[in-house]
Amino acid sequence: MLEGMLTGLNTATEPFNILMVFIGCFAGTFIGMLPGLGPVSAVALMIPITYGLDPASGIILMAGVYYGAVFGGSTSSILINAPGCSSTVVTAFDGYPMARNGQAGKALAMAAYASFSGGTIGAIVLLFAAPFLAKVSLSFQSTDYFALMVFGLTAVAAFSGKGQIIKALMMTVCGLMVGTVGTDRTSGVERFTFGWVDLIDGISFLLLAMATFALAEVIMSVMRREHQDTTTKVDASQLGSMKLTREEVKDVAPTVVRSSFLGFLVGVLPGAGATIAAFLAYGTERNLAPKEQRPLFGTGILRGLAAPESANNAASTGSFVPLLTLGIPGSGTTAIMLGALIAYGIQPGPRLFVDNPEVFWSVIISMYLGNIVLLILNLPLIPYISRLLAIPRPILIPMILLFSLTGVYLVSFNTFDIHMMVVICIIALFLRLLDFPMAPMLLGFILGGMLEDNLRRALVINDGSLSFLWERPLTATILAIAVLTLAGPPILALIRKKLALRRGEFAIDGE
Amino acid sequence: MLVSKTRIGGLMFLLLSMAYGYSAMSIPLFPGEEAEPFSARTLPYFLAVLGSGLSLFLLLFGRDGDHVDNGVNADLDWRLAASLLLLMIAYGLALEWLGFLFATTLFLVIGFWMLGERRLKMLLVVSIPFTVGFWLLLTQALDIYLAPGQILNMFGG
Repeated sequence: MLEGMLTGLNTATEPFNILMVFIGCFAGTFIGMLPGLGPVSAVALMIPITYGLDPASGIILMAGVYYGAVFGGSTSSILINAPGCSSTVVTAFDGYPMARNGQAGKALAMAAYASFSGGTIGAIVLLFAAPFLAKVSLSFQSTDYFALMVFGLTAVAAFSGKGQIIKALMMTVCGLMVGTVGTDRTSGVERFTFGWVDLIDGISFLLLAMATFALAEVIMSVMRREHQDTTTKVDASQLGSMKLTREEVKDVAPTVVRSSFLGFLVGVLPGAGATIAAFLAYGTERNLAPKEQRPLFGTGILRGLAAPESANNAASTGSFVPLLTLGIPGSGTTAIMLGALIAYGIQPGPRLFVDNPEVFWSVIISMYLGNIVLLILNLPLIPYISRLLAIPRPILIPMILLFSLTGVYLVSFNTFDIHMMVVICIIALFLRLLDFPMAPMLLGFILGGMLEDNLRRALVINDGSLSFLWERPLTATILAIAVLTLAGPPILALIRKKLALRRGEFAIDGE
Repeated sequence: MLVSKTRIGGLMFLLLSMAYGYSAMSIPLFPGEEAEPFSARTLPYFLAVLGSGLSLFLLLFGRDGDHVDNGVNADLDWRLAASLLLLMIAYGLALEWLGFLFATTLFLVIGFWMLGERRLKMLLVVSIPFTVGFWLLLTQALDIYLAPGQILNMFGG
């Protein structure tokens, strides 16, 4: 393990890779700051660039973009109350009121410190948790993998919000269906190509990610007329002091530590991710706060800002655990990274730790660097970076569209891909308007191939019998957890409803 | 039965799943593969059944989630969105015919204009240097070959 760590340290501290961390954090902060563009789009926009790099540098760049985007999202949340992504919605609860009270500088500095602490604590836990989990998962067989993939897919659906579970499952199935287009990997026969030459290789993952996230998000914001918003002018001279007093630090420190651990744990769960972590941390802090402080949450207090900021960064780090050790992405963003790794010919999962230790360890170690870079990059540069928010939307939007289109075109040099992107984007727009979530679809698409391979292997080994589903304890356990995560929340809600009804009856009786 | 967003989605997915299942039947199999436990058709069949089941559920029992506010969708700028999408399609065609430089400059100028930027100077000052810079970066720094447009080929031979 020590040897691996040293290899990772060696790779991560190569000047080129440090440069990648810098570029990643900077680009991520910038893209994440643009309202509507979240980490998923930011990472998707980076894919074409990483194709030219070696795997370790590529993933380091993407990881930098990821936490940069999470941080950038909080900047726009604080300054203009327009969260760049869902995970920083909570940041605006207390961050924006602070900015309106003339404490924008303090709020941004707090966000930077909290993100740094959250990210660093997350990275330390990752350093110990990931290899341990990777070692355990080395004993997994294809049946267990199949169960794990099912778990990964159902978990994403389960965490997708109230009344959305079936929709998310439908989107997962839809992603799996899209994944079957093209040549079957084992038998070599064409499936669902309808005689089109351009479909023989299947739909490229990059194309799908760009069309459903980057393109659809931008067009969606145009449709909502967000580009006509004139409130985005930020006056950098009015940020106010960026210093925190000693009392404030003392007050916030326990919050940061608690929220970081909570955020990391939530991030590790497949599908939960940074948004849920931020909401949970905010809620927990409000419940833990002394009674007289509770009403202050939402009016602009530091604790209310520190909690979601440390939690969402710790969760972004945490979501690398399932990605690096099991090959199952915990969020839309890590799903895109999984796709990029597969494009490199690297199979994330337990073997990654053994086969490509330099990738495994350098990503973890680059996270420390990334957090430091974010801090030193952002604290002094915040006043300048926030001016980017003043770039007029009419200029910015066509450029983002262009980057998305050329990003795909420059990989395949096939204009068919551009047209396909537009078609997929239109479908994605309709699905968004119908409130169908996109991330499960992407996840289904990415995991589909592996799911099929593992199921095929498992069935062939077991002579076509499905008995492995319940005969192998590990497989059965994972599947049971999958069923529980899926069926648990609705059943709980039902029980709660029943209880509430009964209580209501009692109340009426008692009246 | 109430028409809700979820139900419309459910109906769409039901049709999709059925069409998917139907075309899965025409996936070619090798002789004797029908008896194998797993063939190229297995997963598609399973997905078609699962998808139909889920979409039927959505269609029959679907309610819109609690967080949905229908007011958001009422005032959407469909025209602008549609014209941007058309612009992207046109860009795909223009790349082939006009080449990267012309197509990209045109794409940016028209895009800026559609979104409300009307100052001619601004339109050109941003788009031309940006396109040329991007082109130089791609062709000179990254050594990527960008095919010139077919129209240029016709004239230039």
